[in-house]
This record gives sequence, C-alpha cells and structure tokens, in this order.
Amino acid sequence: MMRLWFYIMMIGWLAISCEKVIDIDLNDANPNIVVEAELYQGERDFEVKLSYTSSFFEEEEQEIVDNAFVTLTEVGGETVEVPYAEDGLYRIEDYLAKDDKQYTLSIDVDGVNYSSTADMPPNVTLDSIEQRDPMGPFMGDGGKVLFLHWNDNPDQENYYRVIYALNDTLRRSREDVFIFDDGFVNGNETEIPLFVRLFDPGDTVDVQFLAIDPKAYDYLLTLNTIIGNGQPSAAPANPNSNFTNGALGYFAVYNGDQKRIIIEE
Amino acid sequence: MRITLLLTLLFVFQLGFSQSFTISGNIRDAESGEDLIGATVSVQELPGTGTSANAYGFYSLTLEKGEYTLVYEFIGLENEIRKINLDKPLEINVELGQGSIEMEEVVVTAEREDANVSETKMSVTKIDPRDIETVPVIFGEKDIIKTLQLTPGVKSAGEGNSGFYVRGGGIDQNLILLDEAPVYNASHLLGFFSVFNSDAIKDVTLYKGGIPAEYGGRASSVMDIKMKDGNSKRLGVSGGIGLISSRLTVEAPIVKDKGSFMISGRRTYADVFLNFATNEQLKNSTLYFYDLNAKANYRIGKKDRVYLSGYFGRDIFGFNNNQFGFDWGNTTGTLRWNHLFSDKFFSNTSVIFSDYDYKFKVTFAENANFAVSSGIKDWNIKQDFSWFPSPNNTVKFGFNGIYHTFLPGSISTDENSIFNSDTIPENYALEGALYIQNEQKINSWLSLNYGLRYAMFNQIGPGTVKTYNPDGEITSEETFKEWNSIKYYGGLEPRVAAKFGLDEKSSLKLSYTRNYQFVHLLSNSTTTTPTDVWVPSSVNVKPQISDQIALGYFRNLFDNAYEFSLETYYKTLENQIDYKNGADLVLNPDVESELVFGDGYAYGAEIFLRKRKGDFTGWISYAIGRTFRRFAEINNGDYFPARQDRIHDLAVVGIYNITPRWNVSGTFVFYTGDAATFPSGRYELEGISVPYFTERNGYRFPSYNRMDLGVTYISSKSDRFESSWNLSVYNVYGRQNPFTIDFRQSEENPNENEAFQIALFRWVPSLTYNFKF
Repeated sequence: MMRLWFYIMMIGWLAISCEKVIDIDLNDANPNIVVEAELYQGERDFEVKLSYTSSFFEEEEQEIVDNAFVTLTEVGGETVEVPYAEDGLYRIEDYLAKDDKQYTLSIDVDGVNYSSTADMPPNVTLDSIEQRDPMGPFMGDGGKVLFLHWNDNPDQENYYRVIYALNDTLRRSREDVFIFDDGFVNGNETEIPLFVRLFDPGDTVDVQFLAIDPKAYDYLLTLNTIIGNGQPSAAPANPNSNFTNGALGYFAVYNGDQKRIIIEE
Repeated sequence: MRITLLLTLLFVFQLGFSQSFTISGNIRDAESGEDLIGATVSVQELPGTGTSANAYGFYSLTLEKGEYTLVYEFIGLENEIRKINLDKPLEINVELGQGSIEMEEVVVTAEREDANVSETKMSVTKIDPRDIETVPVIFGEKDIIKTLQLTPGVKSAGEGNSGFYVRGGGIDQNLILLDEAPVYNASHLLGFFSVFNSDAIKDVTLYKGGIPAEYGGRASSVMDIKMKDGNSKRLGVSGGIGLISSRLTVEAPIVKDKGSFMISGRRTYADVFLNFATNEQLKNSTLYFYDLNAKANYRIGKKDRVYLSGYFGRDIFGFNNNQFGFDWGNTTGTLRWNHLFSDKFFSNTSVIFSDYDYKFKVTFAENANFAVSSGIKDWNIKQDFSWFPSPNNTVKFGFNGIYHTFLPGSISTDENSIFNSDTIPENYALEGALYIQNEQKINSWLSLNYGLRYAMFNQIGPGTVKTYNPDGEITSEETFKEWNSIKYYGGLEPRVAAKFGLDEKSSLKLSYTRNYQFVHLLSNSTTTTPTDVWVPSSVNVKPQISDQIALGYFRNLFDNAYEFSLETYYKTLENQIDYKNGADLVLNPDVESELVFGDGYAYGAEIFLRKRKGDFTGWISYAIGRTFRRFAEINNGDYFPARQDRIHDLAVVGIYNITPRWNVSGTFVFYTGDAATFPSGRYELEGISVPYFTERNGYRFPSYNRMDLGVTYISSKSDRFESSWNLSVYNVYGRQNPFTIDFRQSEENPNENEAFQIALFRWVPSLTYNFKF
C-alpha cells in the first residue's frame, strides 16, 4: 500500500526532478556467507547455493563456496548429506519433503556452523485464475490483471508467495518477488490481484501459488524494502535472515499448487 | 526541597514595599488596533525598571507613589511618553503609531532594541512575518518555517521541506502551537509548504532551549504561533496572486475598538496545469490544498475579552476521477477568555480543539478497492494566570488537561469488495500539567527565570493492552473498561534560565530544561508524509525525556544595529524510538511490537550575527553540532549518527533596500550532507543483486548548497492602497543537490552496480503580486 503512495509521489517529483549517476566511495566489507535454499513439498530436487558477498561496485564473479559440508534433516527423522554439485551448488535429487514436518538445514564452512529450521506450512490449493481489466492508476494499454482465487484458512495466519513463469520462462527478477499475508484478505473464499505486471492477450502464465513458512516470508518482506520493491525504508538494513551465526540469505519451505492460464482478448 | 526554595524566592521580594500603586492597560498598534506582544514600558526616573506586554497586549507595572515619566516602545513604531502622577491605581491604554518617523520598508520588530542582551530568554528565535516578506523562498510562498530553517540550530528535513530538526532532535519533538492549539502535521503537499499562511500570522517564537515552564509536551522545541486579531479600526483587505497559489485576507472591526475579526484564505491551483496534460488520467485528476484562518475577538467591559480562532486546512489529491484519492488536513479551534481579576492579576482560560486526519482510497479493479483512514484528536482545557507583584517579578502559573483520541487506522471497503474492512481500536489518554514560574530581576546585572512543571500522562480505557516478546509475538493481553487507567506516567520538569549582565551591551546566559514527551510520531520514511501515525505512551512505549543545558554569550554592537550571539548546548534524550527491520507501521494493530527503544545525545554551538537597522539588513547563521542515537537492536548496539547529524550548517540572508521602491534579497545555504546508510558490499540471491549493509548511517550525502535571489518592486504606496511585485528564483545556480541517493544494476552492464541521485528543484522562478488596502 505504501508502495502506491510512493509511486504517486514519484510521479509528482519526476515532473520537476532530475536524475543522474554519481560516484560514491564505498568501503569494502569483509566477505560474508550467503545461503539460498528452497525446499518444496513433494518429491523434487533440493538445491543449496552458497556464495560470499563481494564489493558493491566492482564487476567480478561472485565468489562461490565449494568446501562446505551441507546436511538436511527431517526433524525426528533422517539426516542426509547434500553433496556438492557445481558452481557453488549443492544438490540432492528427488528429495521427498513431507507435510507437517520440520526441516533443518545445516552448513559447515571453515569451522563455522550456520543452520536454520523451518516448518513445512500447510498445503494450499489455487482454485482458479481469472483475468480482469485493471482500473485506476494501473490502467495499461489493453493489459490484463490476473486474480487468484483460493480458500484461505481463517483460523490461522497464512503467508503466501507467488512464483510465476511467463511463456515458459520463470520470472525471478526483483519486480517479481510477490508475497503477501492474509492480513487484509483473511477469510474463506478469497481472491487477490497478482500485482507484478499486466499480461497481454496470448501470454501463457504458469502460476505457482505457495504457502511459505513465516521466517522466510519475513526475509522476503525485508528483502523487498531494500531492492526497491516495497515500502522504501528511511534506514535500510540487511533482510532478516533465518540462519544462525550471521549468514545472509534464506532457507525457504514451500507447500502449494500450480495452475496455467492463457490470456484472452 | 526544590519547591520550598522556589516559594521562598517567590515571596521574598514582596517585602519592603511601602505605599505603591499599579499602572496597567493594553498596548496596541494605532493603525490596526492589533495588540503589540512584547511592547515595553520603561520608567525614565528608574533606569532598569520596566515591564513588557504579554501575549494579549496587557501590561502591569507596580511602583511606589511618585511622579514618573513612562516610555512605551515597540520597534518600528514611534515611542509614546506619558508623564504621570502616581497616587492611585492607573489604567493607561496606549496606541503606538508610525507618527512622523520614516517607516523603513523592512520592519524589524522586537520587544526592545537591546532585547537580545537584556532579556533572560536564550535559545529563542522570534520572527515577525513582516520581516520575511522579501526573503526569497521556493514557489514565492513566504513561509515562517522555511525562514526559521535559516536560523542556527534549526535544520530543514530536506530540500524544500517544512519539517524541521531543532538541536539534533527529531521532527516529532517540536511542539507547534497555533493560537495554543497543537498542529500535528504542519505540512502541505509532501512537505513543500507549511500550513501557516503568513498573512494570518502576527508573531512566531521558537524556543530551542531554556523553555519556560508554561510550555511542555515535546522533547526538543516549542514553536508558538499567534494569529492576527484583526483590524479593530477599519476594514482592511490584503492578498497576493502567485503562479501556483493565491491568498486573500479580510479584517474589520465588529465594534470599533471593542472587537474585530480576521479571515484569511489561501488555495493552490497546481492542478490547473493538469488540464494541459496529454494523459487523460492526469487530466481527470485533482491536486490542491487550501487553508482558512479565522479569528474574532471582543471586549466585554473593561475586564473581560473573548477570542475565538480556528484553522482549517486540507490537501486533496485525486487521480483519474478519484480512483486513487488522498486527502488529509488539520482542524484547530481555540476559545479564549481573558479576565482581569485586578490590575496585577491577569487570567486566560482556553478551550482548545485539534484534529488531524488522513484518508486514502485505492481502486485496483472492479470490486477491488478500499479506503484507509487514521488520525488524532485532542480536547484541551488550559488555565493560565499572570501575576505582576512588582516591576522585578512576573509570576505565571496554571494547568492544563488534554483528552487525546488516537485513531490508529481503519480500512473500509464497498460491500462487494474482495478486501475485508477492519478497524484498529482507538486509544485514549489524558495528558496534564501544572506549572509555576517567576521571571525575577535580582539586581542590575542578574535576572532569573525559574519554574517547575509537573507533566503527567495517563493512557485510559477502553482498550486492550498487549505485551510482546522480542520476536514481536503477543505474550499477554488485558482489556480495560472505559476511563480505567491503563498506564500512568508523570515527572517533574525543572526550568531555569539566568542572565548575567556583563555591561550595557553584553551578557552571559545559562539555562537548563527538562521535557517529557508522551506522544510519538511513527514515520518510516525520510520525508514527512501524511500517513505518519501518532501513538501514545503506553505499557510498551515509555515517554521520551530530554535534558538540555545551554550557555550563551550575547552582545549588541553599534547602538544595537548588530546583534551577536554565541550559544552552546548539550542535550540528552531518553526512550527514543526506532523501528525493527521491515516494520509495518500502517494499519498494524501490533505496531508497538515493531518498535525498538534507545537513547541519544546531541551537542553543538551556534553563532548568529544579525544586522537589523539601515538599508541593508540580514544575518549570518552558523551551527556546528553532532547528534547520535543508540539502540540495542541496531548497529550492534553502538551509537550511530542520526540522519540529521549535519555537522556544519551555514545560512546567510541579506536584504537591501536600493530605493524606497526597489528591494533585492538573497539567501545562501550550505550544510554537511545527511548521514545515510549505503551498502558496503553485495550478493546475489534468486539472480537479484542485493546490497549488503554493515552499519547504520555510516555514510553521508554530498554537502548541500544553494542560493536564492529575489527582487521586490513596490508599484504603488499610499494611505489607501499598497501593491508590490515580487520575483524570486530558488536555487539560482541550479545545483543538483541530491534529494535521494539510491543504487541499482547498471542498464548498460547488468553485472555492475551504480549509484544515482535524484535532485528536485533547480532554477524555480516565481512571481507574486501582493496588495493591501
């Protein structure tokens, strides 16, 4: 919501303001470890990407971590090693993540342990996707807004993420990080506009509608404030990581559904 | 112990008086009948003896029986001399006129020519709107807050912004009073205008330190703004027509010399330009604000006078036939009754109302809309007494009680909307204060102003109190019934100021002030936005407390033509508020769980050199200072500079009357860039380049500088009609001062990041036509 207000202000300012690229001296921080790990309910490949932070401006390859010992534990169940694959990626093929379980990801690098534990959120079903004509400041030239319909469980706080593919290409740019909670829409039959973009007639859109664990949700929420995709903050800070020992990044656990829509005129 | 000492001091001076009588009355402007706040009365036979008129123009002076010559003074007006034989109480009402004295084009007003040196007050900036008529400002809208930002220790919240920081304090730590009513959001149109239409304003006093005990409620400063009473002699009309706004003021007597009224309005018409837009949606949009100030006063007999004043202002923004709409504004009202119990005992009783609210409405698509509203509302009863026992003592005491209603927010929707409506329960609180103070002249070189204020705050029911663990989860909940006390806070605020006269032309002043602040503004953006939310002190939110000591050297030069002051201060701040990472402050029922609490301190020195006489007037203001905050949850618990930690701050203002008709003016501003948080590294996540931060406010914006120029031409000037043209240019050399600095992936090379800035105003010209008859 604040995002809207910010855009409106920007419209006003742009009329009178001018923008230019400037030089700013930034210090180089000591490298810090970054974890990116997403676990989906069901049988799927599970990947963990490990890297280090780099200097802000310099164009350089991101330094990867290839000497880590990574394990995934189903709490109260089995612990498996996630072996190193390539390019900083650690992978188990066809891992079965189950409902109602808790998972711990543990990473040992150079004698330091980073770990995170997350609950598998209850499954959510996407009932339908509907296209509509937008109104208000979002009116485009013939584009359509997608509305997602699902049954929200009113008895609990639910956190959602939508990841979509447009014409078979997964969209994961900064504008596409779309998350929400049920604060404004708590109830049974619920719908929400997928406000990442307008879609054109003929587009094929595959929507993954995912319940996400609250800690990863908090990470993405705070990530959005610093990548210019949420309420801009007066004092930016690193997103709230769910790892111990100051590792950046997240261990996200998803449980959801997928549907396709082909946009009509 | 403290109280005993105070009372002893209060009554000691009463001894030793034999047969004495009181002279009292009102001092007014002969032309308009306006009360002359701070006009002085001195006794020629008794050097150093005198008094000054209070906020309602009333004065009272008690002398021993005898023959005296009284001199009534107000700068810019001709002195009035009265010879009296004091053998009974006398009521002397005086009207000071321009007489034969050639009026200067720029009127500089003050209590006395040497007030800078002779008064106990320190850390005070006084502005008469007439002073600033020709100072160039953005969009040509003369603005008292923008002018105050050119004085030492007062910093603007950003380019063209009417939010301000005083001596390292926060924006919400300024108590802004318009005819005693607090104004909760003093800005229009994203902060580029203040809500104070200077045509309706008589007098502005900003207390940065040494705050008298009669004021309280905010941690850093008090800005006391008084509206004009209205011309009690004849009908007067004045106004101005500018490129983006126009003003009109009408004032007239109700009954000549007994009562008068004033109505002043202002409206911007920036949206007129939207009609030229090629975009249909912009064409169907509205964007404007208006202000309306109204005041009336009437004398009932010799001892009573009533005043009614009000302010109504609103910003209205609607996009494409209100599919996205936003409006917000303040409403204040003050009903006052002045009563003279005796010629030494003056009373004022006020009933005050203040309201701030905002609403916005969004439509995404059919059946996808909602409206959000939020605000704060106050009812306040205030009783102030002034007692003038002797020329060397002025005692003030009184109390006030405020009933606050906080509306954190509600969301409403159409029947068919997919969004749910919801209301966060209102919060209620009672705020009160008791105070007593005395301004005492001990001898020819020492005068004191000492007082004590007891401030209290009680959050009351109905309401539900929640406590939270560090993760923001609710740990307990308790519900309270109507009027039941939820949480009480109270504390004593000592206020002391002393003046040590060094010689006729210079003095040293020292002051100490403690302030409690019970209401807090939550704002997570860098500018003042209408969606900022006021919250009360509560179980989770403790009152902010500030302590400030200030020491200053004051000197006037060349027969009071120049005023010089050097002040230093040190201030500590307790229970400061900041936010958890990613805090959601809008429409959040658990907003208190998003806050973190810490402390802070500020120190600095301020130099002010002002020339107030002659064809060339103006000032140089320089402040050096630092301000830091500390929160356990932020920056590893280390002190970090606050955003407004601008180390150097320089302003130069010059006004030159070339001929009686032509006048040029200019201002130059330089300050150290704001402290800011920039990344010290980056990483990739989901293929997105994410900035990596290591410390809060560890970097700085580039330093800021700007020059504005203005020319005023008085096209006609007679007793019946006056008019002038004012042309000004803001930022004449077009420097691109960064308003925001941000980082992004370079478009040419997506593997590389770049920094970019957005600058707002360059070469903004404005033309205004002003008239008065």
